[in-house]
Parts: sequence; C-alpha cells; structure tokens
Amino acid sequence: MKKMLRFDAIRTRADPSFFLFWLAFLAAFALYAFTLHLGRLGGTGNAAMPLNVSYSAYAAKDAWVALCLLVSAMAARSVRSDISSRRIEVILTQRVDRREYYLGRSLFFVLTGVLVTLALVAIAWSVGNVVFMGRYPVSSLDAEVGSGAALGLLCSGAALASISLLPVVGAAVGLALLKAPAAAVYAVLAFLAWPLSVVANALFGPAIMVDYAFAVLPRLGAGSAVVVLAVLAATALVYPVLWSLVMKRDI
Amino acid sequence: MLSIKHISKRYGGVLALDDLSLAIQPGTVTALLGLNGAGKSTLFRILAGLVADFSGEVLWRGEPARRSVGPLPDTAFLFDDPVLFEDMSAAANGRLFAALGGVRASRAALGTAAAFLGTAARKKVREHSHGMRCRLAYALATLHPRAALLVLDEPTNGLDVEALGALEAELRGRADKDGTAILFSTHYLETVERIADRALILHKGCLLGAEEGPRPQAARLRERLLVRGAAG
Repeated sequence: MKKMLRFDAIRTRADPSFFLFWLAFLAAFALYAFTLHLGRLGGTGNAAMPLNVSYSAYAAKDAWVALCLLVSAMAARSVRSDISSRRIEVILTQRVDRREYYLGRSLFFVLTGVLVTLALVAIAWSVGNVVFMGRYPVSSLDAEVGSGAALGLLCSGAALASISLLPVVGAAVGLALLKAPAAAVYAVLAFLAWPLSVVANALFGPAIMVDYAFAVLPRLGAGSAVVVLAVLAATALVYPVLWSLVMKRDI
Repeated sequence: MLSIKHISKRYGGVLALDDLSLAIQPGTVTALLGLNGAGKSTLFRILAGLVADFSGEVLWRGEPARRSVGPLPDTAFLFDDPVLFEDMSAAANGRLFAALGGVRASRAALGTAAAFLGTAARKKVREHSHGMRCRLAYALATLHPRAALLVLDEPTNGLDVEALGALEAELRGRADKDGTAILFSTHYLETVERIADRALILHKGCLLGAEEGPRPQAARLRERLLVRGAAG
C-alpha cells in the first residue's frame, strides 16, 4: 500500500486539475456557508443569531455528502481510466499486486476526502466566527459556542465522517475494478446519497445544535458509536467481497 | 526456473491457448514466434497475473505461482504498444516506476538517462517519438536490478536500426553476463537469428515446435511460420 500511496502522490503532484477542482469545491462551500449565515435561515429578522457555528456546520453537513460522492466518483473514474488506458498493466506488473492496488487507491482517495473534510471544518469554523465577530453568541446554555466546545463537536463529526468514507470509496473502487459500467457505479453512489445524509446528520448534528448537544451528549455519543460500528461492518463487508470478485477477473 | 504446464485459456468461443507447456532456463534467450492471434500476448498476460481465469499451472522456481494476485516475482514485463504516463516527463515516469517497484530514485534516474542520453528527460512523454517511447518503456520496465526473468512482448517494435542493435546487445549481454532468462516475442526473425538460443512456434494457442540450439535460422523460421499460416 505504501508503494501505491507514493505512486499516487507523485502522479497527483503532476496534475493541477486535481487541486483546482478541490479548491473550487471549498470556495463554493465557503460561499454557501456565508449565504446561510447571512440569510439567517429559519430565524426571524430581529432575533439574535442563535449560534455562531450552526449555519456553517449545517453547510458542512451538506457539503460532506457531496464530498463523499464526489471523491468516490473520482476514485472510480481514476481506476476506470487506468484500465481503459492500460496503465493498470504497467502498475500491476511493477511488483504491485491487485490487493495493493485496490487498497492503495482506496486509501489515497479516503485520505483526500479526510483532508477536504478537515478543510471544510476549518472553513465552517472560520466563517461562523467571521460572521459573529464582536457579537456575544446566544445559546440556551449560555455556552461559549464560538469556542473550543463547538469546534470540538465539529472535529469529532469530521473524524467520524472520515471513517464513513471507507466503505463508500471502497465500493466505488471495487466496482470500477470489476469493470462495472460507469452508469452502474454512479447509480450505486446515488443510491448511497440518502443514507450518507442520514449519517451526516448524526455526525454533524451536535455541531448544528450545540446547546442541544450538551444536553444529550451521552445519547449522541452512543448514536455515534452505532454509526461507527455500522460503518466498520460495512467496510468489513465491502472490501473482502469485492476483493474476492476482483481476484477472479481478467484485467 | 519457469515452468508452464498445460495452460489453456478461452475467450468466449475462442481458444487462445490450448494445453500449452514449456520451460525457461536461466541465462537463455527464448523467442516466442507466431502469427497475430497465436496466443503470445495471452501467455504473457497470464505470467503477469493480468489474466486470472485460466486452467493449468505456472511454476516459478519449482513453486506454484499465486494466480492473479500479482506478476511472477523477480520478473520484469514489457507489453507491446508500451503504456507510459503521457502527460508527465520521462524523469517523472522514472520516479513513478521507481515508486511502484520499490527501487531507489537514483536508479530510476539512471534508467531514464540511459534511455534519453540525459537530454530529453524533462520533455513530456507524449512529445517524444514512438521509438523513443519504446526505448523509455524498456528502460523503465527493466529498472529493477534483481529481475531474473524478462518477459518482453514485441520489444523490437518501433525501434530504428541503431536502437534495435542496442536492444539486441543488451538482451544477449544480460543473458550471458547476469544469467537473466529472457522470453520475448517478435516478428523480426533476424533478431531471433542473432540473439535467441531457441525459438518456439505458437499457432492458434498450440506449441507447434521449437528450433533448438543457438541462432535459429531466420529463413527456416519464416518458412515454418508461413506454412502454418497458409494451412490455417
């Protein structure tokens, strides 16, 4: 896997479009987060804004679902391109076996997703604080929601979200390696969109409603544990099943 | 070193390889000849682990090779119509191949420099001529210092007279000095005559015969191939 990660790092460095794409994605997200804040979605005109990270955390939740699907589609597209251009022949005959290729490529795109997720959180936090600069945030617990507690909740959401990338990206890479038609790969990803948004709600929910999160933290902790267990179970199912199928196929 | 036993491979209704058996010894140069569609590339793809669904057995140093998991160990592969990373420079391709093969970058640079005389390594691969790309592909495919077997699918394609001579000298030198076994396919029978220790003739997936002994005669090989081709 180390060899594949090094290989992907070298290949990505030579591809500016990869970086431009994610920069554009993050810029669009920042704009979306600002728009939600400034529009005071759900609030009345004169009411104080309830929380200083809530709207951008809400935006992060949406953006993470899009990120998850985009990174998976990108992974599938990259593997399919390796196959159609026959570059996979070069890779698989240079002391890299199929398992290394499968896991290495999946891990590379999961790491990409993790980095972008962290950037999302940083932007969400920054946008929230810029909008609320100089104002005292109001919450039912008078919690200093612009401080570490809210950031901590955002970060824990990001950490759990990163783990959730494993089965989705693994499924996309595995299907691409099985030479599933592009439409089938995208259909599977679209099918995953709804459960992903449920997961995103569970993971970023505490950050969206910080005061609520403090009140029911133990319950949310248990909920997150269930999500993590479900994700790990899905990962343990996706990789071995798809891998055993990939092993039997001609490249 | 390498034993192939009773290998058969079918693509739909077409039998690409039919109960093929052969053995390759260290320090020998073996040419695999045959008309287009004879099954040469299929055999190479089986050895490379790219084809997983076949019957028969591949033994490497007496041990069964793990099917489809990866290529044979200590073996370098080069396929016809070489595939490179076209939008990257030759030097960057060298770094990529070095990363995949676990070879030190200096060695990669050496291979690249050898192929391009240190002048064109920064140019993008797609800006090079076909012949130059073939030379680069060979240099990169054989980057690993421990390769005990080279499997080369039509490595002579696209080479000019000078590059062809250099490749022939390189292959013969590797076999004689390093004891590297070489299995290659080609349509240049003169190359076979100049460097091969034996030639195996493949027709419709079957091994028809072998010209044993050093320097098989090109004229005789051509005759055997054409007779088989006419017979269908």
